[in-house]
Amino acid sequence: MIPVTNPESDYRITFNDRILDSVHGYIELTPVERKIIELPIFKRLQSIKQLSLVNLVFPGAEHTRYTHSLGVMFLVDKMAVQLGFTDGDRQLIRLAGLLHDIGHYPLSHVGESAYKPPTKAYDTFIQMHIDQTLQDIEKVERPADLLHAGGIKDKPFHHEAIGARLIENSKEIKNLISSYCNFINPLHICDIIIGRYSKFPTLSAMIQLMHSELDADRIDYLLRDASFSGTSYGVVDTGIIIKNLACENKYGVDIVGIKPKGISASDQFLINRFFSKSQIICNRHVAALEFMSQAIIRYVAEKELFDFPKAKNLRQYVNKYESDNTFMKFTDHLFWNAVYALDKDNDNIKHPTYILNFAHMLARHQEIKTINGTDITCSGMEYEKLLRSIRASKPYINLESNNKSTFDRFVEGYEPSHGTVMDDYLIQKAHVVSLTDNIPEKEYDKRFFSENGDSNVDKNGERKENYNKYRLQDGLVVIDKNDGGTDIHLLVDDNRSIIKSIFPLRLAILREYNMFKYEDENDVYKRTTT
Amino acid sequence: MSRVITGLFQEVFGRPYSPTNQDDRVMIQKNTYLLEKLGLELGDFWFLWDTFGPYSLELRNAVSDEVTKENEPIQYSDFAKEQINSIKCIIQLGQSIAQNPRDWLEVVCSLHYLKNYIIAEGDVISELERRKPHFSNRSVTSKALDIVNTIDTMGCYNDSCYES
Repeated sequence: MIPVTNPESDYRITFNDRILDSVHGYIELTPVERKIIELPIFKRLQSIKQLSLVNLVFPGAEHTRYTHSLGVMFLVDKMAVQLGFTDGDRQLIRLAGLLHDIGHYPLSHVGESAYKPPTKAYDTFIQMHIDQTLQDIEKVERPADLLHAGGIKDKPFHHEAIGARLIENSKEIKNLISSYCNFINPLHICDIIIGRYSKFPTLSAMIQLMHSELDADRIDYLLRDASFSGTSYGVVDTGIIIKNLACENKYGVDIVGIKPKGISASDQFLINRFFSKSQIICNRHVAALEFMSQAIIRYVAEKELFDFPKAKNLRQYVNKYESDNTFMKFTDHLFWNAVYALDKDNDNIKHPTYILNFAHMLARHQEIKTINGTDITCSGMEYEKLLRSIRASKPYINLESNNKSTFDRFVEGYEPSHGTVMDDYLIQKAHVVSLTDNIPEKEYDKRFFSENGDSNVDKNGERKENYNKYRLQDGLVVIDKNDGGTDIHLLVDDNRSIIKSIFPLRLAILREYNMFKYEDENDVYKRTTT
Repeated sequence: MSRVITGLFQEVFGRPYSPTNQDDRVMIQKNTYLLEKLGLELGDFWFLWDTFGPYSLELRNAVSDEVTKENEPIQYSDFAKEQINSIKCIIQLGQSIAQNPRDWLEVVCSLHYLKNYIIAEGDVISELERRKPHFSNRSVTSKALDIVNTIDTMGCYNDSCYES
């Protein structure tokens, strides 16, 4: 492996402080890290919960992006040591781990989803939600592949793109890095955070430690989410995984993978991640709370209420965060302030009815009611069959019917005349969980290269090599050194892995909620003014 | 989503997308690439460097059989309208310096990709000339690079950018 930072540098990792973390124990800090975690822009992460509103359902899940960032720094360093990184390179990857979430949104991914501007125009929020739900259900039959790779994270509203932009524009972070470790180019940190493999091929191994199917980020959040939520899905044999990491050169770049002895631990990691998603993230109460919060964030951002910046202006606020504190305040507190302000304001001339109702419920830690018997959960590997089950269900039939309805402005309207409260206003929400983002090489070839669409065979051969390279960089790789040489392939192509047999597994969930009923309460919700 | 992508093509170029037309196949790639960089969520497309600059196989597959249906107009959000206008302004600027939309978008997208994903240090325009010698007119490529820098800094490109 070729070092990224100057190998002649006499920089040595020395720790001058430590922080006690409930997952990893003491996390030691170098002087530059100590200074960075003191910065208000980093401390901002203490006010962003890792799992948004999951703590209202799993009360222990109070952990924040701050502790997760420290955990990622700790784990990625263990990986770097295993791979024989120089001290300079260790410091670089530690900083990337520490700063990888610095651009996160209020309520983490809930806020991030709310900030994605819709392409189509919708008359009502509900119509947008219906369209999104129908698209989510279609994901059941979409083969998994590595389309999460490459430039995907570089979408302007992705928190990692926001984080990279923030570092690029942060004099205080760049000054600290240049004072304590001037051999590090802060732009390398940005490229690792976003995962720009092609710009700096020498960063390949580092990027994989932060951006692959078995990276420090995913391992830390699986361990941390389980530990804090009290669930048992975070059992990962971190020791075996890290001790079995290896790095080899293929297609001219470094590829990080797991030795055969780490295959079972990797299988266990993927399976536990599947359960963690299905049991925590897709929990019906969590899903309801997140739906309501997302609706509120989307609304206040569109209207620029309660200091929420408009999506199209977010980039400018990130650029100038040192002179304008809009982005500094962009945390969970801002969200809760908006919720309480809306609840207090309670003016359905100024605000839509559904927003006021959601704010009222959230302010009391209540959520909308799931309709009994409509929780449709199917798992399987035959996508057509899975889709048929979902499409035959009552919530789906209602969803289609809602999609064809012309929505009146009753629920969303601003007119003061609609004082009545709806009895039944059913909305549906879908989740699709997959086991892995990887597919076997044969399937990938069949999908992309079986038909030579551009009638240029040589060009296709070159493309295929490029794609194979990126698939390895982004996937979970097995590095098998044997008498015949070194075999490098994806875990889904390895006969020793159970993932090879079950990689197509999907879990599809469709539920129905009543927009205007409390959970566990039969009466239609009535706001205090009615 | 493919319906939206071909709809955006029609919105920008003022005519339906035809998958059998090679110019259209190139332009839909560039149009989608730029709109994504301007913040529209159009799908999980993975753009890699290819003959005509950034290119996505997944996008090719998504629109391979898609023909814009003129009788099904799509209503776009205000944000999408602003960004459609950004692309139109970019094309307009190209036309003002005698660049046809296909080549011009290829230059702009290629420079954007090279700047953001390929070139770590050095001159992006020289790298473009090395890879695509037929784009050697510096007055054209430097204007295209100005657009790329504006997109990266501002997240849009509008009439005021054009005037300045």
